[in-house]
Amino acid sequence: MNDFVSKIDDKKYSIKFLDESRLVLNEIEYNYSIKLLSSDNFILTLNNRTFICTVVENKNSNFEIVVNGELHKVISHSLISYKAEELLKSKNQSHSSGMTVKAPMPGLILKIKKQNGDYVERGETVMILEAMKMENEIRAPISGTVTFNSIKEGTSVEKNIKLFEIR
Amino acid sequence: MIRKILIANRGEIAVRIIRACKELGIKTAAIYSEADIGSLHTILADESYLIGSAPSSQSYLNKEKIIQLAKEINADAIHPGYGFLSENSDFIKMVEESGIKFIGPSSKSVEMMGSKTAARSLMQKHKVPIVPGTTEPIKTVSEGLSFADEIGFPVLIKASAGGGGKGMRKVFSKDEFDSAFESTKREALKAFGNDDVYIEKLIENPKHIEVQIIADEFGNYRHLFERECSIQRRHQKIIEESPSAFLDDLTRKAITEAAVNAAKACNYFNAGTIEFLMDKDKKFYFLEMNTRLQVEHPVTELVTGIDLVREQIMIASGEKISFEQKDIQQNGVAIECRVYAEDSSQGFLPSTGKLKLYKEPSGPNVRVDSGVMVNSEITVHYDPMISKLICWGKNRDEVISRSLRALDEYYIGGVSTNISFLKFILNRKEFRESSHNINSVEQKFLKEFEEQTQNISDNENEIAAAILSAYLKSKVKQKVTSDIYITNKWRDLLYE
Repeated sequence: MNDFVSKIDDKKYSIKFLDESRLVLNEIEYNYSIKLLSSDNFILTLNNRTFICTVVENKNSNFEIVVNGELHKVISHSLISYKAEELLKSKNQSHSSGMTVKAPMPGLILKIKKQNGDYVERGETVMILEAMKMENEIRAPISGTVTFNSIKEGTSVEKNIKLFEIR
Repeated sequence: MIRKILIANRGEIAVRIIRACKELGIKTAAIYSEADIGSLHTILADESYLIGSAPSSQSYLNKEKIIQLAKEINADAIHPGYGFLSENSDFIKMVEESGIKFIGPSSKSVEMMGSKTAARSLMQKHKVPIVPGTTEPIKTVSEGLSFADEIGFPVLIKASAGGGGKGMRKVFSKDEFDSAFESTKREALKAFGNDDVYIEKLIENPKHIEVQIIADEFGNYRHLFERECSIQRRHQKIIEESPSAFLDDLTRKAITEAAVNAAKACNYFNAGTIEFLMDKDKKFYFLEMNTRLQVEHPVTELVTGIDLVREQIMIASGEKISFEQKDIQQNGVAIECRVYAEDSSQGFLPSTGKLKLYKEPSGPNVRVDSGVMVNSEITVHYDPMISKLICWGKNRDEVISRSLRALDEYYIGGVSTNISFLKFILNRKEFRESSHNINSVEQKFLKEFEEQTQNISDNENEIAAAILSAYLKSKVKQKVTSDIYITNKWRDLLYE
């Protein structure tokens, strides 16, 4: 019941909470403590290190946590539901390992640099979104084949509108 | 005598101006948009007035409304800060005609320097060296191409009305010229409402050196030495320092003299900055004049001991400059780091959201200029700068160590920040030796930073995030277990 799996990008962290002060992370035991500092801010100690973490999003199993100015998107499941999900994924390959990229802010699609079906490397610029008076590069979070839905150059998008998918 | 100043700006610079006013015993009136309700500058000011909705065009750029308000509340003067209306000569003219004092130069000086092409020919006339290129706007692609051929690639296409790094493109060869020309025009029209562009020879790998000047209405001119702002990304300054470790006394003397001449050429008064590019042989070229206070003014304040905003207000009140040139020396070294809400792992996209956590650094010789506090919102409407860290040290090594120490003391939660990138730059060998130039960030540091981030297999921050997520999940689960309808939670687990 105290086993969890947290995924960040393609990295997997297995976490088992032994009790209120000990946990096992990827088979190594640590001392820890977690204290609520103020709403959404937590102080986490891990052996002799202390972190201040801010929870920006906490929905179902999706977390967005800022630590030292870095935003980490984490998907966290209990070990049981993680295994169940892996099972579902293997049965339904077409729904697996894709990634949807959404507009990080409202803006105007200035340029689309790739075409439907193009293979893109992780970190490659896929499109340019003009927002905050700046031209911002939207990059591929993973390598794969890119699919644009209804997005065209010159369209304005709201925050969180799907821009493209990579499989 | 100025008794009340309306501050036509927001954020950290509004706060900075309020501080100077309070020390002078002058009343302050802040303006704010609907997006800035309850923000720090409105709290610190003696009075604050809602000016319009969130978009700048409806609020901080609304000339008529701002001047009308200043009249209604009996403000004697308007301080424009930087950005927004600070270099808008139409606005300044309107303020002048309204009988309210504008804290800054005359609309005439701003107009003379506002068009980059006109400024270039003015400088040429006054023997201030300029970058080879056109002094007139380029109308067509073919006209531009033939000129670019003449001076030789690479060239820069720049917006005549541009500034702050917006509206310019590097062009390395003929084939890129067409699209660069069009996109610069497009960006210029959008950002400045004017699509005139001109061409300059690209000075290869120069340093950005600028000189702070100040003048009163009696024809007294002073300079406050140089700042180096070579650490830039997409022409946006990130780290600035004074003095520049690259300059020798002879070059310093020549460039400060040229800056004073440039200011005299446009009958300048109040605070201004002349920006130069300097090549590896320490030859320098006039780039542009910023006819306003600058973001990086605090580094000059820390090494000279002069309060530039106070000086601006006194000059606008009709006083003489408070010091003689010979009294000003560069004492120690100051560095400013601009902390932006940006996601360095996402190509430095602005990161918006609420600052759920915000704690500033402190300690000896650390200054922080910011306009935010806990729960302030970083929105898409304005600049994503959160805070400026300005540190002072006896020498450059000391101030670099201090800046690194102080950057570690920022605790900002809710948005991503560029702090890890700032630290990365301060640790670069090129930066430590001051052998960096304005292209170092884009051509070298960014790549190295990305490689470093990818190569860290044990990212402690990532581990902390993973553990906290699991912990929060475990707390939720306990709650849900007691609920009856747990069984069909499986669907939610199928994320996209």
